[in-house]
Amino acid sequence: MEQFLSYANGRYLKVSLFLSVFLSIIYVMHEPGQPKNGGTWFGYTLGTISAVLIIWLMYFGRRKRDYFSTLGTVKGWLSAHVYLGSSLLILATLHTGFQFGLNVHTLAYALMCIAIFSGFYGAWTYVYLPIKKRENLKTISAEEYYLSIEDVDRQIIKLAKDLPESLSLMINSAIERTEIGGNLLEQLSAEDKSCLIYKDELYANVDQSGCIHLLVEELSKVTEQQRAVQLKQIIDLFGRRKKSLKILRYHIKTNVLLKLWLNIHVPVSFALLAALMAHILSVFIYW
Amino acid sequence: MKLLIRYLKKQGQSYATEEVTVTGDTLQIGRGTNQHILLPDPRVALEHAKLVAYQDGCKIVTASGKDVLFNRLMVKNCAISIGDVIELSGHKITLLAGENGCDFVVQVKLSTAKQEPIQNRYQVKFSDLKLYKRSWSWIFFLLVFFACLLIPISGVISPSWMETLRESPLPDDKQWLAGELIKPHKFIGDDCSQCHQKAFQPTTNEACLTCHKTIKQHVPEVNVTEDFVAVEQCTSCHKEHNSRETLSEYSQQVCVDCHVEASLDKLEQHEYGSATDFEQHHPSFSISMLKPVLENKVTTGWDSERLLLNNVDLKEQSNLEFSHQLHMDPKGIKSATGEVQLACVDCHVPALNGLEMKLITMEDNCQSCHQLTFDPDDPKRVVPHGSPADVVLMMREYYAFRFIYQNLNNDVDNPIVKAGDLYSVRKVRRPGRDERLRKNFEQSLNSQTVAAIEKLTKQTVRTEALVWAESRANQAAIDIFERQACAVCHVMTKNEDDEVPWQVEPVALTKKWLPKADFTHHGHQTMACVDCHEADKSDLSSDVLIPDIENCQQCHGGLESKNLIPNTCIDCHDFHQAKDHFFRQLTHANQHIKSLEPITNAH
Repeated sequence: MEQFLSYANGRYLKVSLFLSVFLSIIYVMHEPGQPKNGGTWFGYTLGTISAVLIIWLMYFGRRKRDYFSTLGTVKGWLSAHVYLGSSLLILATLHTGFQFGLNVHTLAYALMCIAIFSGFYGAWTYVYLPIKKRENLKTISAEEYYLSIEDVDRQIIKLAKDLPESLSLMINSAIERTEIGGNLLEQLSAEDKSCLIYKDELYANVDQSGCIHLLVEELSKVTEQQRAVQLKQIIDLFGRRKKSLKILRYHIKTNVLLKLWLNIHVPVSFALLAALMAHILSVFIYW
Repeated sequence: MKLLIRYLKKQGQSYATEEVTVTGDTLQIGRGTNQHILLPDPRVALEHAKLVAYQDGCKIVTASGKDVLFNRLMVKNCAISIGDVIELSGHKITLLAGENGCDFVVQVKLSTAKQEPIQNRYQVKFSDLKLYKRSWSWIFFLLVFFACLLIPISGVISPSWMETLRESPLPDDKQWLAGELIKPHKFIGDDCSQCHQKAFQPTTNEACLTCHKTIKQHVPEVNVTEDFVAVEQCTSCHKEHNSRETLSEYSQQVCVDCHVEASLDKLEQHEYGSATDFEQHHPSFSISMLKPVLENKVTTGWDSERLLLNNVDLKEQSNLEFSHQLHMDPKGIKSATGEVQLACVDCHVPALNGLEMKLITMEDNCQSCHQLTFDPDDPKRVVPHGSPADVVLMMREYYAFRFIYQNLNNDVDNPIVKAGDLYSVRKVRRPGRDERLRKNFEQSLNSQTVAAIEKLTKQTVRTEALVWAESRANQAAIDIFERQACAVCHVMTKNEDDEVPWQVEPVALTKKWLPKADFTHHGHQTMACVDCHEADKSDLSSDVLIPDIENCQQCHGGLESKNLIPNTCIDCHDFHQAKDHFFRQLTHANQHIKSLEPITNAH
């Protein structure tokens, strides 16, 4: 996945570096006879390049869906998108002349920064998280983890049928009240909010430990061989359940991380497009 | 050994049967298609377990990590006999007695209970969060588009609507403000249209000149040569919204672009050398010095002359005799009250923040020492510092009055005399001296004058009085004009044919030596005057004591200077400094504006 960073031997990295350094040098050298700002000849040049870059960067969203296009590869486009997008940060900053305020111009700049930094984060997730995700799941798919939990649940319920009522109710409640996923924050935090009911009291059941703890307590009390084996097996099943749930929680979290940034990156980019239009038009309306 | 596998598949209320016979004693159980007992369920492993048949029963052996449910227990291996049931992920496998030549019948009852997948019970997918990029993108785009562009634009189209917008919490054009206005422009507030009068058109000079009526242009029209490209737009140099204190903190490149070449001031017939940097490339200072306009060797007026300071023959002709050296003698100088040590500031008092010096006058600066006394008997009596005619008249009146007083000697106790005793001279009069000197005084008048007076008066007493007074006044005038007070400082001329023969040549001191630069003494208070002005070595009033550029360059450097005060052109030179030329307006067409100008440069 990280191949987009080293695409064509870092061709676009070199282009971006050259562009940034070259224009920065001109910025330092040029003396417009007034405080440096976006309204000097060099300011207009930087502004034009930046505006064209923004439109082009946003066109990537269209290009990546254009499966029949022969205009470069999507990987090449992504590589250029990342590196030229990074250089935009420098060009647009130079365009501001380091003058900021509470106005539509700085709004456009701020939105651009959010879009770029969310893009940086996105590039990082695309490089780093797929590896983490695979390491977490090991060799099987998330679907299989879900199925194994189902299977375990069924087995537990069967095994727990002839246990004392309080215990079998507790086990049922532990299965019923297992929590995974949820809203955005819950998915992101991967926090285990599972709980169980034992003797009409609600207890936390983080990592199934509440349930296992109660079962172990029960196990220490039984004298019957058959019951002991039964309890051990249920404990073992809850152990498997816990393992799968933990892996799935992490899986859900990485999934959110991989996708959420784009939900910031894209809408903010469109807000930037509107702010950019306002910026350019307002400057020339009040020339 | 022969084994029969019987699959029971639910079909409506009953079960459909499907049988497979296997020869051998082992049955593979799993999801894989190579398995004998095929359980098409992802929860079951590809090779989950195997069933090994013996004569008297069977044995179940699971693959590593797998187990089956037997007798309500999870087991890895177990022996099963006829009638026993094992369960794998809900699928039941029952061992039955053999029939039709088979040793055993293995009945497989596939579970059809379709449970809702566990992931459907929870929100575990990103898509479950219902965060749609497209809708959020539209919302954000339209929000910014309306708030930052469309609504303010509607105000630009309709100014009255803009007023409503500004008064309401709705977004207006204030958000378009690219930077704070400079302090003097703050009063404009949020009324952008005061300067930005037409959309998509740069701010015009007319907008600036609405307020800045009296601003002058850098170069008068008469000076504009063909190759001169005038800076025509105010906004070419003055850029607003740059968050600065002033609009004129600009690079000297703006100046250097033109002044890299020497320029000619046609009006004053003076050529300015080229200048690009105060330290590296700047000509000698040019001063504007007053020069008397002479008619028949008499000064009739004054003219300003532009001269280079590095001219060694530079002499000021002010018609004043004055030695700085003498007045600055550290030992002191005689005054009416004894020896005094004069400081520069005793005469040169800064005005206008040190941009100029207050005018030096006889009354304010000289008279405390240089008293215009004329009669040794009456040392407190002085003549006015005015025209010779006034001086002579005053002395005539004085001596006439004094004669009358002397003849009232016998009536000193008379209250009328006492009432008029305004003159201390009576007390200091030395008896007999007047009589003795009378003849000498009268000799100063020629016989015609005496005869004329006698003829005029006819009466001896009057004659005597007039001759006395006139002769004393005449003698005192000769003393004061030619020997004592006036001649000390002034250039005197004498024409015997005139009624008052003495004339004082008019005096004019140059008030502003460097009118093209704004030098302030205020900012140089840490210096002593003589550090720059070599007044203590100047014996003649014709010496020009304005220092040249080398003196300034001891402390002030060019823009790039590291160890000197870096200075740019406009630190000293005012771009809009010109005599009468208003920006882009010909003077003859703008007399009414000219009349608004309160200050004229004194050259």
